[in-house]
Amino acid sequence: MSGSALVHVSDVCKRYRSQEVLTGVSFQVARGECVVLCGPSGSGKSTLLRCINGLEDWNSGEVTVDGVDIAANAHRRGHIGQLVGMVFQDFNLFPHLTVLDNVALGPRVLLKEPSTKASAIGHELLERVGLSGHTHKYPYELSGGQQQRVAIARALAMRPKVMLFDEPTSALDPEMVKEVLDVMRELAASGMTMICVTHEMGFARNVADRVVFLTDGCVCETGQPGDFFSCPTTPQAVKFLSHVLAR
Amino acid sequence: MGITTDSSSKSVSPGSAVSPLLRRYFGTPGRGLLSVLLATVWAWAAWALLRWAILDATWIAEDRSGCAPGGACWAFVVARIDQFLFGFYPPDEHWRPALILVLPVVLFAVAVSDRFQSQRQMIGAAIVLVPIASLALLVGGVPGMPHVPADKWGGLALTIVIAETSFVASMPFAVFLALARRSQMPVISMLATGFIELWRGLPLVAILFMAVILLPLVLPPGFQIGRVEMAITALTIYSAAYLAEVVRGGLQAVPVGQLRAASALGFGYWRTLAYITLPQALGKVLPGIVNSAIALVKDTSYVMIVGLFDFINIVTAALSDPKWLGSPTEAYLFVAAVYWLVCFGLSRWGRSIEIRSARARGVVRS
Repeated sequence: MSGSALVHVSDVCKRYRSQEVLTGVSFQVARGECVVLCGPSGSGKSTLLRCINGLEDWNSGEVTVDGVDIAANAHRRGHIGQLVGMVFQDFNLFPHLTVLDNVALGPRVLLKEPSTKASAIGHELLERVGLSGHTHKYPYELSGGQQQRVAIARALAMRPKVMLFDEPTSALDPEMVKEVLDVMRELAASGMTMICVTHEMGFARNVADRVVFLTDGCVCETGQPGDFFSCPTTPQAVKFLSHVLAR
Repeated sequence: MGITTDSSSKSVSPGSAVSPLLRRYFGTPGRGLLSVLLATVWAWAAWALLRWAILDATWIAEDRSGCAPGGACWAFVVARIDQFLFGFYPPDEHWRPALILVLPVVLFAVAVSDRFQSQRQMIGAAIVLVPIASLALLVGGVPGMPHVPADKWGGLALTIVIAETSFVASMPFAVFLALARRSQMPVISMLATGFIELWRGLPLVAILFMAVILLPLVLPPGFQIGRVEMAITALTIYSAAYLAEVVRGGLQAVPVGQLRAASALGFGYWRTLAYITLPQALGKVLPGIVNSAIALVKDTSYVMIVGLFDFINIVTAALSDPKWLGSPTEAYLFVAAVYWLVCFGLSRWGRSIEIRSARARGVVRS
């Protein structure tokens, strides 16, 4: 297992001033695996995700992705950008660029692709997320679901080894959640390694290979979605599931 | 007022657009009387101005006594126009300062026309190149363009060169100051803040006086700074201090999510700045930048303090010519009109960029 693991998180601790956010988180993600991180709010899921691509620093412990020590390389953004892609809750598309340029900017500027090649990459990925008709629009012209799909295409354009999703559907109207989850499902099926922070328990149940349940800054329980949802072993997980599944 | 307009527009038969206007200005006897009175005053004033400025004006004369008494004496401006525009530049070389005046007009025409919008980088390069080329034209010193010393420079050409050079030099300086002020490192931030507050807190007049009086005392003997360099340096620093705060406002308006997204994609500090932060920040504060540019054009008139004959100063100096005593009204109206045209052009330029980018992002449709 550890031999083929792509992402290693071992004993990561993080404090904001005196507040402990992560208190020794350890888990691994294998190549091609789709892991859902869940847990009550304030349990450190998003912070942990930002540690994995070095957007956040931490106090002790180690994170490696594909053998690269993230802490030691956090300042080499160009290096990490090609290793780890990230999709944010509120999309964060670049408002001054067209949809196509949002996707093609990374390949053109960071991967040094000629602009025709970069555009071709952009067109291909936008088609993959079902937005080939919107390439020359600006982000504000798209619905939230479409914007989030552009954001996924933009992250994929850097050809990352692992994709992080930070509550990708939380800012969306309910009718748009499905189109984003469909893209994520397709991505998981294509063999992309994914770590998703999400409250979409349907997605966790049907798509994830494994669920990692965090409380109070550490991994409380981890297991196959079937086991986790039908017979959670820890009282915290039981309580959490009774809250989210009651909705 | 609103009620009157409403009722009138309802009672008016469709197709007659004149009636609401008529009702508005002649709806009641009092209103009608006022309208007639005001229209008469306006017409009289316009007629008087037209007669003075055009119909009764004298355009060509030997001296002030050759001008007709009831009209404007533009002959003064006409007789001195070379000097007003080109200073004391050798007449054989007048094409050089003339080109300096034409260059920005061409640049403006290219920048606002729709045909050249795909060449934005070219326009950007031209904005940087025009002041450099203009300075080079003034200085000369290459075959075909003999060197002309700075004490021969003057007039509108000098004003334009000083304004262009100071603005183009102060823009990157301002961005640098704004970034430094927002730096995480307290020393850098404090230095930038101190620099901005120092120069922003001093009147430009005081800065120029200090440059003239204090610099020679501080500099080693024999070492001299030209007055044009002095003026450009002072205006650059002064303008940069103001612009830095405008730019900082723009930087602060870029959401932190943009920086996170750029960082996650792999953009480092400088690339994030070049491709993500600055385009958004500068776009947001364009009205403020244009404001500063217009202020800078007018602030160039203070360079008379270091003894330069800029546009206003050279006109003022010409007024003391005994042949033309008594011509300040015409002279300063001319100066005002030229300044206004330059500033209005800048304002239109800024507006055209705003509308274009807003249209591209769909905020304004036209």
